[in-house]
Amino acid sequence: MDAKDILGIPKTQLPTTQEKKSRPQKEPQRKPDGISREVYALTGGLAPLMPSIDVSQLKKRPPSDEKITWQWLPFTNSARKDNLQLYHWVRVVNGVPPTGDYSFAKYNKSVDVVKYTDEEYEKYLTDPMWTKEETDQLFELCERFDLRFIVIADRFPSSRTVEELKDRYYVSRAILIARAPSPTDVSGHPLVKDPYNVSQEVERKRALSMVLSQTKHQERKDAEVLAEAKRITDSRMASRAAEEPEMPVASHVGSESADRAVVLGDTVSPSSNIQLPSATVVPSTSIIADSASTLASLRMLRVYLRTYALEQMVQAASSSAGLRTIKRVEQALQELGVNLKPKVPTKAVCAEHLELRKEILTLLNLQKQ
Amino acid sequence: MTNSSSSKKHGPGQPEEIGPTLKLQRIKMSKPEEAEKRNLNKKLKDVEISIPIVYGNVAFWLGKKASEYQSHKWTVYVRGATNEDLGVVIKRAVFQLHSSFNNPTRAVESPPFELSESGWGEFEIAITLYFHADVCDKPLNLYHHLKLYPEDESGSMSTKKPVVVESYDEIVFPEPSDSFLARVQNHPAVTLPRLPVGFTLPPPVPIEDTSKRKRGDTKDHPLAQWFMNFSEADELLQLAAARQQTDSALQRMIKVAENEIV
Repeated sequence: MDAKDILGIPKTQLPTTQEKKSRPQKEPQRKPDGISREVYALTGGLAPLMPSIDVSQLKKRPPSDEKITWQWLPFTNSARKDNLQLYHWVRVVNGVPPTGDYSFAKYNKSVDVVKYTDEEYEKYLTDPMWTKEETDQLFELCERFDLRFIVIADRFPSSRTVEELKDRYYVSRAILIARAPSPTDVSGHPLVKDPYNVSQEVERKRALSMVLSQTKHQERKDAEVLAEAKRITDSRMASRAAEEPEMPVASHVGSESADRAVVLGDTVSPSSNIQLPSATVVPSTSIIADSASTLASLRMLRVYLRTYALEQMVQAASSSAGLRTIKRVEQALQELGVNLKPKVPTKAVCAEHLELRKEILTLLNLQKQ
Repeated sequence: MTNSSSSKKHGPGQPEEIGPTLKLQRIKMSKPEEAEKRNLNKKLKDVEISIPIVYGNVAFWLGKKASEYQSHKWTVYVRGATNEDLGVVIKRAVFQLHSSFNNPTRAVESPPFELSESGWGEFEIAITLYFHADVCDKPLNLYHHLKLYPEDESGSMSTKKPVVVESYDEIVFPEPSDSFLARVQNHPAVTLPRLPVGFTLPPPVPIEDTSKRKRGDTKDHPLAQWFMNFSEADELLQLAAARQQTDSALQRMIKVAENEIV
């Protein structure tokens, strides 16, 4: 409304004077108690939906009997070596300034860098790769930069790798051991406990950078190779198991049902039984694979119950089928007068039962198409 | 062809002549060394020992002598399917009863593996079978729901005729050790496939004199008259008939498909 007025109508004076008039009218009505006018205005001039602090509570803070002033005072910092004097605001209570060191002085920690004397250098530290000068420089930098070797390596006058520097520095370990009156005293010291191994470190960092710098392409390739290897080992196991039981079950069952056919005087010739497996083998290759792996896992068990084995094989054979198909298989079994779980689960009965289930499954699958 | 380098000692007698389960050896192809290795492995893999068992319970109503908490006297057991002695394979059977029983974990250290109790409630009993050391070091669990009351409510409970519920199953040892094989090769409780010719087993350990210890078989067991008979013949017939039907249905489908293609 205001914007429209201000922009639309060139009479800018009138709206503002109108506002000025209305505002003082509104304000005395809405002036809140408990919080100052400016603060209240910060909330947008409206009361908050849910007052978080009870307004009556706010003024209740009892006036403390201490007299508090804030003063601009000088201070010294024990962490500093020079005598620089700075100033800051200090909360003064009853005219007494606070005592004690500068509160941040305690954070000034430093590393205890081992320092050697010249004789010690002569005795223990001479090294063909390093001059005394360089070693001194190194140690000085270590002290200055608190053993931050990345920085030290950067600042080092001659180019040395971080590992080399570390290696040289950690030679001071030798000094410690030498200095110590007895080895046991010093064995607790971290420098002595974990010696620095240059070659291992170099290797480690190299391997790390290789892993880090692997491109997405390489990663994918590695994953592919691993998956392929796994698949090969799995199929090898499955094919080994598949070759053995598949054959005896098929041939055993074939001869069995041929016998039964003769006994029952049925017209269906035994040849039809042999013909059938070839026709049905195509749809059931996946079933064979599952059965093979189930058989392999059964063999892993030292002992099991025949009913358990049958359950597993049935599950494996029906793994590709949905719940509805499984129900239809069971329905078919019932219609044929076959128990869903054989009452006398001998090896032969279980084999027959399994084959029957597989055939029904195949039949149903074919009917669906 | 694959058996030329095998370790079989007895002549050219090849496994293919024995039994349908071992026909497969003929079908194997592959290189000679692999074949030999596989033959060695197959010696143990092909031979699977199975023990047909029946487990369940027999429950008698106590009739006049029945009290509120002891209305039935029942016996839960694991027996050989043909009532042979299971002690040759099973060392111990542990029956886990309902927690309301005193000492609900009952161990039976010798055959016949059975447990008798009296009570009023039906519950699931977990039976753990522990085998002899040369048989298997892992136990096997069976679960049986104790049945006391007859199926149909109208069926009057008689003190003379018990309620009997039994389940048939077979314990399978896929890769039995040689010593186990040797020990049980002629035992009636155990089912072995025909061993391939040339498969030599260590001589069987003479079976101890059974008259000296308690009978482990249940042939003349007091409850034997109530034991059910399990014959695979009926089931096989049923299955064969079912397969015939499915086969012919499949044949019809294939014919139809062929005609359509042509």
